Amino acid sequence: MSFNFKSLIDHEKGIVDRRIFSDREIYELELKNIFARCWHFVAHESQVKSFGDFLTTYIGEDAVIVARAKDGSINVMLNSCPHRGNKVCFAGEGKIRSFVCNYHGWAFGLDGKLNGMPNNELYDNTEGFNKEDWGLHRARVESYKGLVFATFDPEAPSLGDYLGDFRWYLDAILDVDDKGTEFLPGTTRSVLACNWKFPADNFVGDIYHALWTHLGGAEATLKEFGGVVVTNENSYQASVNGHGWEFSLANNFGNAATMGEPDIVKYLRAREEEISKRLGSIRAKMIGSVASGAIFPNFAFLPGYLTFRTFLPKGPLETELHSWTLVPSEASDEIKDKWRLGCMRTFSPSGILEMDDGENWEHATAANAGYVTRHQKLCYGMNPTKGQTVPLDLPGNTAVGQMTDHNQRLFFKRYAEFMDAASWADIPMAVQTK
Amino acid sequence: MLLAGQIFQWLCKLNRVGLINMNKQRLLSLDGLGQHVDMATYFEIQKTLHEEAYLLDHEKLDQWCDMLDDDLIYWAPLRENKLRRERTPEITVDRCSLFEETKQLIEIRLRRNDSGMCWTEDPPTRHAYSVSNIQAFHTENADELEVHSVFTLYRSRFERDDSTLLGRRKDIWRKVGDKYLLAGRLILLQQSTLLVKNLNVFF
Repeated sequence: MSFNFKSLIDHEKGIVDRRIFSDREIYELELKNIFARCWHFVAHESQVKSFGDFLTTYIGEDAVIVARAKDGSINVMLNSCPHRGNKVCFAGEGKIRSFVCNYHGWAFGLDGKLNGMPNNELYDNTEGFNKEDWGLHRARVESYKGLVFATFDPEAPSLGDYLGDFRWYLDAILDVDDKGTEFLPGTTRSVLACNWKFPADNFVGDIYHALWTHLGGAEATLKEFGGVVVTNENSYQASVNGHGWEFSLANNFGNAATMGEPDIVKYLRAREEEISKRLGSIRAKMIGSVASGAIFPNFAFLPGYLTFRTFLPKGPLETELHSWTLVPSEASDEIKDKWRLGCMRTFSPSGILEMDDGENWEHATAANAGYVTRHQKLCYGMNPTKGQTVPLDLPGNTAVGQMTDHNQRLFFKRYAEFMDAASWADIPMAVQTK
Repeated sequence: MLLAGQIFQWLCKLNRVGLINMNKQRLLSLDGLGQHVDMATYFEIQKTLHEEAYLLDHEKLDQWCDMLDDDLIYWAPLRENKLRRERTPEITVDRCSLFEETKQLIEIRLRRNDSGMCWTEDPPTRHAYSVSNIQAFHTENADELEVHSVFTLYRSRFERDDSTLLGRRKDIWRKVGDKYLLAGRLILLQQSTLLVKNLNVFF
């Protein structure tokens, strides 16, 4: 069956076809047209700080290794031996000099090059055999302010162009001082029986759910701070190339406060003036406010908690969640430790806020799959500030109010553009203004 | 004499609020090196662990909380796949965790359950804990026992949701009056990727 995604998604009216959340054929096309094409977050530079540091992760369903080579470069390559295909690394992270396949002993450098194999004379009579041709398949790698991204598509634009003006927003977390950011040690991994797009569209622009989903969790932590406060007063959504950030500029430590670590709020408050000098008064309010964001297709974050996470697809009905806590490197060890605990307490598998989300996405996925059900539509039509102009100088496609389906409609518009495109040449890019 | 007694009590209290005694490093070092306890003490400990499992199964979480001592350190570190040759250990105190709680923080978590607005626990989950492989040892502190156990936690929710979590616990149980209170717990889940969506549970 061939699909026309523009007809499955009406981004103007906000009508989305439910089949995209369970159909196997659509999912296979996503692996090709989205996951083999986009730039994907694979590591923070601090996770592979020095020569020999490595970690393993996935781009789509493709297993990859991220490794720091002797020349300081970060390499991303398939974690699959070109001989028979076995994984060449089974550790999640560590320090190593070479990756040796368990099957026949083919050995690869930190840059993926085939260094040798046992009894290599056995290939002496193989016409045209060149070790240079049989390294681990490499991805293109680029970083943005500490975040390392990779793509397997040689036609993809640069990472800078891929992120476009979204970089202006990302700087509100990644560039608040000269020292930059780092991930605290430890990757949290868990599995959700949901389609990867539910968590992705949630983070790209759905604060609306917090008012209901998280009432119980927020009651426990937020009660003394006045409960969950989300309004469309002085709050906005911004979308660039499918990436999105919904944020309040009024309740500017709202997310940070719910971790129950008042010292973090104090720290952020004390930093505000400096950040304001560096980035201006708007972005100085964005590092801890009631907000969420995501980079297309499946990399998301929350200001305040500073959880960063990827939603790795494992079939149309399963997602593996990898998450980390990011901190400003210049913060004291005490403050970093409070972030480590505050983020765990709220946004980890035991987190009093995260615990509620998985249930919703799993049951939305399962219920959408029913035959009659999947032929109904989903409503992404919330648009309470239609026609209002954002009174601030904000880049991207923006909307007044953080409670609107604006970013989610544009996420699915982007999704349809990728799914219908034959190549990168068919994919429009937002004009850069910053 | 009276003053000395007061100072002693004050020191004991200080000890019990964690300024001296309980920390993650100590939990990591628990390796069953002490003398095994006698049969009567073993029975008491086994009874305590089974009672704890019963309270958790039946959502009697306030009563479970009464079994926790004030200086409790309750820690479930992340698990990671590391090669044997690595120099840094898999679990260190600075890494992110799945649980890293004090009694006070557990009480905050309980408020979520008590809020009446925790939609995802309605209808409620059905839990069954099984606790086995119990080993109990004396420690350098006369009032504290080191207790190891293996747990299986089966959860069933709604129509067909089910999950099984299996792990090891290394505890410090402290004799206070005529009962044992939990003063330290290291929870070692065996999955490096949790094959469940959440840990809406206590171990």
